[in-house]
Amino acid sequence: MAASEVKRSGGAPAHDSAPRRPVRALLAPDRYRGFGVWFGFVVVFLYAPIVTLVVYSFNDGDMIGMWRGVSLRWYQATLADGSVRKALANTLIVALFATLIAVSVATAAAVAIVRGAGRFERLSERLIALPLAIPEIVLAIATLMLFALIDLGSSITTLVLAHAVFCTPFAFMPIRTALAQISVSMEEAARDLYCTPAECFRLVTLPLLAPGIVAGAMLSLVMSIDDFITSYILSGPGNTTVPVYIFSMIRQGVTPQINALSSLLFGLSLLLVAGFWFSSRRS
Amino acid sequence: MSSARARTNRVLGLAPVWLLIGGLLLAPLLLVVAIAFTEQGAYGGVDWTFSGAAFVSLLYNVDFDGTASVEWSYVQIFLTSAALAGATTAICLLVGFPVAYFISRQPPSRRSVLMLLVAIPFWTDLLVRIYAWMIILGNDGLIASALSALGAGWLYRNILFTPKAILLGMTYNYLPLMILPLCSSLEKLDGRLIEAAADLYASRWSRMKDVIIPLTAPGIAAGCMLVFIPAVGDFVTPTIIGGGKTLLFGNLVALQFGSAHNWPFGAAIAVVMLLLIGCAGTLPLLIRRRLGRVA
Amino acid sequence: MSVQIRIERVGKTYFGAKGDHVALNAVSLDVERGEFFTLLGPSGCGKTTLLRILAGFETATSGRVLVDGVDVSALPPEARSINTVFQHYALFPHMTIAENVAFGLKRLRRPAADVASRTREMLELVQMTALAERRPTQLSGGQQQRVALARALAPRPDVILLDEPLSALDLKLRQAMRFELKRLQRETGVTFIFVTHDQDEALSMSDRIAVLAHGDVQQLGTPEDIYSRPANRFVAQFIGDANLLKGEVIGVDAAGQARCRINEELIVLASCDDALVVGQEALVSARPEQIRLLAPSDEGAAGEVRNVAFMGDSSLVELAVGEGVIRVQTSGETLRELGLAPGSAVRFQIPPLAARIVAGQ
Ligand SMILES: Nc1ncnc2c1ncn2[C@@H]1O[C@H](COP(=O)(O)OP(=O)(O)OP(=O)(O)O)[C@@H](O)[C@H]1O
Ligand SMILES: [Mg+2]
Repeated sequence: MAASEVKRSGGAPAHDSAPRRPVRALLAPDRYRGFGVWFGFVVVFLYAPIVTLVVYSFNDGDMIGMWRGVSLRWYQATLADGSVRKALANTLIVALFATLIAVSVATAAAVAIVRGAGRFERLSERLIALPLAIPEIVLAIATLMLFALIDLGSSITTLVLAHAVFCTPFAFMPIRTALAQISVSMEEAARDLYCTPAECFRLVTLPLLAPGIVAGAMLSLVMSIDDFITSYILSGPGNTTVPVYIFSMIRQGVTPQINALSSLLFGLSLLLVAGFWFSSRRS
Repeated sequence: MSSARARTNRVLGLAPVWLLIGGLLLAPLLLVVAIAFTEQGAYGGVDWTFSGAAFVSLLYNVDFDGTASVEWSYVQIFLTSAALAGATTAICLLVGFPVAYFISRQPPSRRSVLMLLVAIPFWTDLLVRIYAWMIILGNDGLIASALSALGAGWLYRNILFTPKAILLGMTYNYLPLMILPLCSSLEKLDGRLIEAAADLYASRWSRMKDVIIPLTAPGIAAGCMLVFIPAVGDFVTPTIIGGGKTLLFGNLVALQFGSAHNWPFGAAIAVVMLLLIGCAGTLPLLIRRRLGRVA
Repeated sequence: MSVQIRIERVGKTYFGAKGDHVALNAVSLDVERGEFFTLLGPSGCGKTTLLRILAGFETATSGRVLVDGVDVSALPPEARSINTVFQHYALFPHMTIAENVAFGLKRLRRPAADVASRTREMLELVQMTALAERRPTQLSGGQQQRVALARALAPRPDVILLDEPLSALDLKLRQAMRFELKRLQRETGVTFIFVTHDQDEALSMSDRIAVLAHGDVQQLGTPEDIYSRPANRFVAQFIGDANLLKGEVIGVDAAGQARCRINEELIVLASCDDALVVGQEALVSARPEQIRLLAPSDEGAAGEVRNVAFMGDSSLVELAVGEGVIRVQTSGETLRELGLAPGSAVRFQIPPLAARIVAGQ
């Protein structure tokens, strides 16, 4: 700063009459002072608990608030636990099958809704969004009653079906967006070049829709894996999922093992969110 | 390309949705309404006779000798739930709006990264998020340890297991649900409109009040509903960081299907909750009509 | 020449919640084999609608379409030997250029060897061989245009439909592509049905033009016909620039030429197809470039210059004549010789038979 100042004043000043006053940049009309800082605070607020959790999952000590050095012992203990492994397997099976159902249902519906504009299509779109408008607890106990009434009991299958219901709107949104971006003339071009409707779907619509479908699948997987309420109400003793297992652990008291299991679950979600991110960018 | 056939194909495409969501959402909901008007069976379960007893017992305590006294505890639970959910919604809106606005004014590539940043906590398990707060707030938690390490342990007030903790937890849980719809609504707002307002001598505050907020009213309404609905039915947050001391709607429902085993009563509470949401749902509509005449 | 496509009283009404919209009334047209046929008309006149009915994307509400005498109205697009070049090309982004061109051939289950050779041939035709393995997003607008054309030509369709294919290109490229399109049409001998709202495009490329407006055919003819013998007031105004002058017929001769009095000083000899009666009112159309400006001392009708607009190769002069305004296109030289500026007096002449009486007054 000082050096360049000296250099500049070395030459003859061109306009010595005009005082060199630093011009303060105008705040653009659509900006508000402090919003950026506020954004920073909120991000810290959102991440602080999760980061704390992950950091403490590597704590060697038994106490939550006491740092005793880095270790993987809680992860080892967690993964060695048979019931945790069972819960993890259940979680993944339920998520995979629920997603399979949700994505198929959502894709068929998206094609019908985006390409048609009738009253029935609009009504169906509302129906798909309905799971978002009802508290999960209400939906879960309603489903429980229905299953009890028709004597279905609790099994992995009933859990898969219940998960598929609330996964569908999440699978639907990115698929719908992707489909709306595929110009109708793309499909018309295919028909024009001698495709039957089925060939048109298989050779043109589906490949163009693929990133949207993958994005929808990722969201659906995350929703299912992270679901607690529905699983808690509907899962029986044999088919506990990870969140339900964590809940029972918390009720028994806070231990570092919960940190490890929670961090694992968080890592899994993060992985899927990353998958969603990349596939939705491609579409 | 007969349009009748195209129409048939579309109906076929929508059949799975109706089967899945119709069968596993509409049907159970109707069942809940039906069960709410039955009597509790002798061994739990349902006695299929029409009765309004479940609703009556929300307000009155009928003794064995038939005298009825008003039962305030449920009303109180309803009010607490509604108040907590409402407060959560309001706080989320106040906290989230500047955040969403900031994100929406960034260049598109950065905008999507920032939105992802906000979304990640939401895509994390609810339980994990709440549990993380226990680590921070607890008696031997992070804040307490840090303060006592600094010799200021006396400053520490444990808010864990109080309604304040529930409010904090719910705000934390549902904040992304407010920010994300606000963002998508705000990013559609044409920046030239704000410039035009400035050009016509609108102050920054007036630009916000007269241009930005009215034009994003639909997003505000969507965000409020998205926060209010899960907040009013939340039973995990009160159970864990509320320590189960503050009973809310969700706890009450869950209880009837667990230990209490009173299905009609649980169903009646669920119906009341849905009615409450229905009422709350018309509120944003009214706001929207007043604010967003253009949108 | 033989008629290849016969459009018989085709009508299209869009039924909507907010009311019905008639896009086409009852259009009848014949398109001949190997012809470069253009549908020209203002925005919203139903050009795209008619094209989509020909391609099979849309069903006509009335009338029918015959290809080589066979009614195709009920056939889906994949069963019609008609290919489309889409306005924004609609190239498949997940396929290479070569795959795009080969797409139709494969769907027709042609042997692999034929597909390969025909694809190569088409890419050569449009000079895109070097870029065959690229994706559509890696091409410029003009290149995409050529690929779209190659893709449509590859299956050897009877007819190619082109919906404003040049509208997405910049001016220079658009002009170059006119010649290119014309060349391809001549070399392949395929019938082209070309849609545009740009009259220069239509006049420079077409064998015949149908002028469409308000869902009806206004005039059908060669570019020459349409430019110099507009059938009605709409065509006269839509194609090129025209001064429309109201006058009275004061004499008719056997050759169908009419003498019209516009005002006391201005009497025009105009051509006409319809039978006229002396004394009737008539609307005379005169193109700005056909009107001659003269010095005030010369013989002619008087006018006063109101405005001069410089247009590069020429200038457009607005004359106040009586109560009306006449536009005259003139060279810079004339402008200088006469020393024209707003306010100066001038005389002008409409040469015999340069003007034309149009119907529809
Ligand atoms: N799917 C549709 N539903 C309702 N109305 C339509 C539909 N498609 C076109 N129209 C209407 O039909 C009329 C003719 O449309 P068309 O697309 O054929 O016009 P165009 O001549 O191609 O115009 P442009 O030069 O702007 O492309 C227009 O007024 C349009 O608004
Ligand atoms: Mg068009």
